[in-house]
Amino acid sequence: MPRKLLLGFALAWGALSLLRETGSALAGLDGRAELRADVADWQLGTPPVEHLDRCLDLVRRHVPPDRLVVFASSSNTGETGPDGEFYRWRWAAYLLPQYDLAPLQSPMPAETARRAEYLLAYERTLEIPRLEVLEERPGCRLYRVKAP
Amino acid sequence: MIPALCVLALALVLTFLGTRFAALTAPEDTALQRLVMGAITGMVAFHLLVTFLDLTGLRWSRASLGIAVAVTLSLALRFGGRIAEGERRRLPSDLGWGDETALLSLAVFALIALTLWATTPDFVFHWGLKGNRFFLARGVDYPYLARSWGWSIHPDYPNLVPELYAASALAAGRFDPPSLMLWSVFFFALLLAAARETLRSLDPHDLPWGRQAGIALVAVALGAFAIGHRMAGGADWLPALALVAAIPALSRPPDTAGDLQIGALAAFAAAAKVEGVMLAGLLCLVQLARRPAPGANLQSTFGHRLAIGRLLRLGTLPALVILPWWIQVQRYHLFSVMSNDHLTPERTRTAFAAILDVLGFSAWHGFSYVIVLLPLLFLRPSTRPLAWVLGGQLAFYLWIYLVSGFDTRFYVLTSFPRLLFHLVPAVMVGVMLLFLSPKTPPCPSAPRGCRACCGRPSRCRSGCR
Repeated sequence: MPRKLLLGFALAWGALSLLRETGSALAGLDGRAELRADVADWQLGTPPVEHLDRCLDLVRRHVPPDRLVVFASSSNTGETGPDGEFYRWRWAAYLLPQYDLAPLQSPMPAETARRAEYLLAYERTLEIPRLEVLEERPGCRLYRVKAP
Repeated sequence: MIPALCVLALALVLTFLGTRFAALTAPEDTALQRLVMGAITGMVAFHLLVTFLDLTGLRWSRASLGIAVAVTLSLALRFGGRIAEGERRRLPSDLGWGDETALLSLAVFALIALTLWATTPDFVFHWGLKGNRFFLARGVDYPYLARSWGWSIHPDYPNLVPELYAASALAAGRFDPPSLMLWSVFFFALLLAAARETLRSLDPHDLPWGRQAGIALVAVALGAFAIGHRMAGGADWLPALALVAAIPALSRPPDTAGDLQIGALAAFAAAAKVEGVMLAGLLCLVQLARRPAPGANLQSTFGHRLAIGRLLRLGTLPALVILPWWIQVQRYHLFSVMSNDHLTPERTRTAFAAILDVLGFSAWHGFSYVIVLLPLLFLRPSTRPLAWVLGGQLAFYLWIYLVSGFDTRFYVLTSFPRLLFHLVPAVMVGVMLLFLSPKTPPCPSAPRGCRACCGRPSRCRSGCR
């Protein structure tokens, strides 16, 4: 009897859990168009990702595939603090698989600086003499890196 | 629609390929178990094929992959052996309410996964990115993985999942994330099928609805977590599947088919994730340490346990997976900087506090606490080998947390919910086997193949029928 009770209770609880998660997922899907989540919680097909993707169009238009592009974005926005730039860089790398996308704060800055030909600044302004603006949109600017 | 059909077709072809290896079928195996082992073996064979193409410098294409799979299939059909036909070769048609609940749970997960709402962030950060990159590069792109900033995509991980994504994209002609989520649905379906067939060993007379409640419980608990914690698109399904599929072979005395099955499951786990390499080692070691059944025909030069034949059956497939991976990792210096540190009381306290928080994670709905029942699996000889594997794997995870130099709390909170997913399904099935099966020992006089279902002396005499 206790086995039956335990198993029955666990099953009922599991079924309720599945219903709750399904309901929550469906509610999230309904609100997908209005989602303004922190960068650590971005999801595919949501407005923040589409906004970043529109910025990445600059790279697709101006930069030949397989080139090295340095990605820079603000490092102090959202609740994730300094990790915000890291997550945006990872999202940009996913959306631009045909390019080598290096972070501005590269683990090997000399290598990055030597190889980089382009730099994309997303919601960030950079004042570096070696950078020449190729095209810009609100909150987004693509630079060519001039030879030193 | 076409990319989704390509995923399904690839899964079917690999399953068909895997089922052609008759030696991997134990006499006790049901048709559904044979399908599960077939799918797993097919994916291992696929991984070995693309690894061979990479090592020989051949680029992946529809033609090269198609020819490689066709040649392997022909060889398997010619030399794979024959499987006896009969009742046990028929797929189940007697679905109970638990099976239907499991199918419903699978369907709900599939529908949500296809919308990408249950997609794991790791699909974006590495699994999907690697799959897309390998698709564009027509092979595993080691120079890309070896970039100095590539540490964030876990360049040292084995690549079975991105390879499956890339092959699906090659077949479809484009990288289509929603259809790739079907791989997770496929893994979930295999896991449920493996759990169902394992729970079928429960005595239907002892607790008539035990089997049905068991499979339903596994399905709803894992379905809820997979949706709530966004598990679609990741590789954590594979170690979980390997562990559940290993339970039948670990529960019966070692035999030739069991050793081969454990070898294939170990190779599958090793091809999936770095943690899977550890799991592969544990599976093989535990199986090797067990005393074979009398008359199991496993005697050899060094006695029952360390027989050359057993070593080969258990170790060949894992070695074929692990050695090329290790060579490439060394060649391209892919090992991530795991900042190892010393074990300190402060870090231990932080880690265990975070682990307690993870056990209470809302997406687990309390089912994560089943892990504390793991020691109970040591109580019965049939579940003891599983307990050693699960206990070893859990100890490995805990050790990594205790000696890693990362921010311990962040590390545990972001990874342990997924790592628990490797262990919880097998613990759930093991605990159900323990509590829902009769306490009387199996009868040795019963015909081979029905000892597991033979809990009562009266039924022993009637040959378990």
